[in-house]
Amino acid sequence: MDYTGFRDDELMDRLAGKDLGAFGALYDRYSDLVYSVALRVVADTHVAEDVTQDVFLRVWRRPEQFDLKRGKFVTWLLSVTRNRSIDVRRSTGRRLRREALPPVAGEEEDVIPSTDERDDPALATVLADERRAVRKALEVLPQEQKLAIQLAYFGGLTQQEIANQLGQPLGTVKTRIRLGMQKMRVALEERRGRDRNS
Amino acid sequence: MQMDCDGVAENIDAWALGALDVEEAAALDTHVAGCAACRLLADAASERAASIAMAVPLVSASHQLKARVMAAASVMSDLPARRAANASRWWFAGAAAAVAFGIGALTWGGYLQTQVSDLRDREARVRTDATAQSNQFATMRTELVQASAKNVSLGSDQDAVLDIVSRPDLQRLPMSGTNAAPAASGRYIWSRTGGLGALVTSNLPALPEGKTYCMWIVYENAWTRGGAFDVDQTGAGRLIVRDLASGQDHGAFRGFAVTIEPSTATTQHTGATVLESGLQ
Repeated sequence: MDYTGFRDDELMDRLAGKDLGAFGALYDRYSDLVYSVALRVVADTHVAEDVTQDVFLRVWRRPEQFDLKRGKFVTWLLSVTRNRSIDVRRSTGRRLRREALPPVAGEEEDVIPSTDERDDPALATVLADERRAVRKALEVLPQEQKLAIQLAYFGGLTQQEIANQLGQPLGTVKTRIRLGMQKMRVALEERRGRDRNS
Repeated sequence: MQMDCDGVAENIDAWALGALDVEEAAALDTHVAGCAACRLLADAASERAASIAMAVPLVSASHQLKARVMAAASVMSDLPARRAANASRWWFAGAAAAVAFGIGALTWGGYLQTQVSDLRDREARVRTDATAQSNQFATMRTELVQASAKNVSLGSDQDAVLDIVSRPDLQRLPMSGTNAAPAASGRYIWSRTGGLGALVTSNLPALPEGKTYCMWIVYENAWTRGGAFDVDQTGAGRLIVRDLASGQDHGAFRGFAVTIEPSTATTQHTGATVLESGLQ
């Protein structure tokens, strides 16, 4: 069966009936993204593969945990990936060092074309646009705000831990995170507004 | 610690990034659970935070990974409602073994202590014998603990399957029906280094009363028992195999076999082979 054109939530519905083909389609669509996020957090290719496998098998076992009313599939999947990666990182005792942070926004291009580009051109356009928008939103943030957000999201550090690591007061770190996320929100909303009007 | 709507608004982005400490996060969670407006805020913040992950430069996962994931999903779909029963059965078996061992160890330990105490008053030669016996007991105890831990630590069939498919030496083998069961077939995924495997069968004949199917790992000098299983009306059966003899020297590895054996526990294969792989 050809799953091209199926929405993510339609594929997820099929997972409830243990449709292995639909599962394979979701894997093809998002495995590179999931793997890339895991790799970014755990900084080890073998561990990142294990996390990727674990995330997809969780999706396979418990598709009902995804609730379309609470957000898009891809963001839910990436949240699961991030949380699982942080858990693994903590359990293996690794700590994210500042100098070990690979670049995120505007500093490095994809090393491969995304799987979604190979899978479904229409979906690829939407996803690529979205990815580009997030990168641009992050690019415009002051470096210190971007760093605080990255240490929290990819490093799994609390605000207090970030403050300790950067040698900054806790209040400063809180402000950086709050302002950075506000700017991101505004940038993404402006972009969505432009999309609606175009 | 409590948090009101203003507190949620102030902390929601840090919460979505996972950057609040445990106490703050718990307070925010509690408030959001009972406040519809803040729940909307939380969902939006979560989505915004998750979108950060989309900015990561894409790196390709290996093709082998897809094969692993699909194989694991395929096996998991063959392990439906029986999973919980199997998991609890393994847990129970492990726990029972541990309890039995504990009782045995206490009894045996007490017996030894009495023996050694008596012997100490007699001759040095007998004391030496008692020490040797004690050492033997210690070795036996270690082996039993290892075997018990091997059973208990795996937790559930799903965890075992995850464990198997995570192994770098994962192999997927077809199993063929013999003349005794020509319509039968099976699949076996296993990791030799991990001493772990998952067997799925179909079209096995119904079992006579008092009989069960047994899975064997066949070495040149021994057949080691992988476990017993029953089949449903269609001949479908499933088994997580833990090769406790893995790593022991039984000669060259030859393959796998499924035989029909008495339901009473047996460590020797006696019945007809109905499925096999690699034994030709």
